[in-house]
Amino acid sequence: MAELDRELLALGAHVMLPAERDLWPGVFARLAERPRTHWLRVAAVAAAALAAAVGIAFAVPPARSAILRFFGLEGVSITRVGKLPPVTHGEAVVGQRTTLDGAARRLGFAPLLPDVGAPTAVYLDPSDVAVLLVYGRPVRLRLEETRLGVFSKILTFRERVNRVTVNGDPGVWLTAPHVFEDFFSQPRLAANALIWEHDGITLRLEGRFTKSEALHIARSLRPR
Amino acid sequence: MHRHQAIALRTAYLLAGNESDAQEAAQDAFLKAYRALGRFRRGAPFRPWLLRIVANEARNRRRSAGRRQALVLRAAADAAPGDAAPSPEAALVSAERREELLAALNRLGDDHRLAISSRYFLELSEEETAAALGVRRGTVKSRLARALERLRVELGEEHDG
Repeated sequence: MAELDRELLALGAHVMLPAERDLWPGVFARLAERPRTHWLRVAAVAAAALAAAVGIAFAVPPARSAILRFFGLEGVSITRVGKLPPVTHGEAVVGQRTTLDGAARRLGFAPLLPDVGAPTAVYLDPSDVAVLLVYGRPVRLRLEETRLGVFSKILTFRERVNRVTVNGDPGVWLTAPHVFEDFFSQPRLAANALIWEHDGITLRLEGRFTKSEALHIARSLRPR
Repeated sequence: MHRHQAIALRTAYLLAGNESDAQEAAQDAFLKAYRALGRFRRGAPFRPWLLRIVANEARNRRRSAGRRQALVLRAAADAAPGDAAPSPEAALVSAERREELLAALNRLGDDHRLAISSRYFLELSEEETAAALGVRRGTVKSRLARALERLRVELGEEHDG
């Protein structure tokens, strides 16, 4: 290494650079601003769609696609479609394997745990905002939790979306097949899933269970 | 997010030119990154992707504020006498030499100063530097080489190293 290289590296310790600080409150404040603009945007899109629909009502079949926003589930975008797009299969997970303690430290909150035994594996997404708990091998249950408002995108058939409540919290029950995309995965075909929000945390439970089984598991969630 | 906020803030600082713009830019960038996570390529390293968004935000802020130069590098306030012993790195460059280096760096063009700052002060990888500078990875090496060459000229050390 040349002398100048060494000097520049050493100089780094003496250059004025901002001290680390918590950026989360600012990001969170921006997220909190979302609903207003977001409803405006939805309203604008709806108005445009309505205008277009009126204009072409007799030319083509009615549009079958619409974005659902559930009260209390701002981070979840559900688009109803007539046909699912082609997607990947398989269980690939983007993220880093960790422990429950490790996840809690990085996330800034302790993941809530269902009463179904210890998770087989715990993953954190690359940006440390969401945790994925996997149960069973082969996987029989996936539980994802994040405090971030922006969570997942879902494409589904109209008849496969049901509004539910979990211990009084708003949620949605989706039956398979639907296309799901989030922090941990590329768009993929998902099994039945329950998504709800509790105490600022958005949760998603996926598995081959019935609605009442899913609700039973969801209601069992507790801090460790 | 906590893992990346320091490097995001510092990268934004080099490009935006001041701390308050850097903080705003980094926060906007995190928000944009989250919204764009669906487009993040599976298995790709996260930091370069994030830093590219951060750098764009920071550059936009500087432009909209009408400032031309990215950043004037300054020395951090020195520790008061009697504080902990200087680190081995600190002992490598005298205070006088530090001033000389900083002055020479500030005489460089933005592109060159940024290339050197990213690599040596933030210690970004080549890929991350490319993201911060908004150039292709292949350009980083040549730009850094030219930047060091210019720095030597500024220091009057063309034949050194």
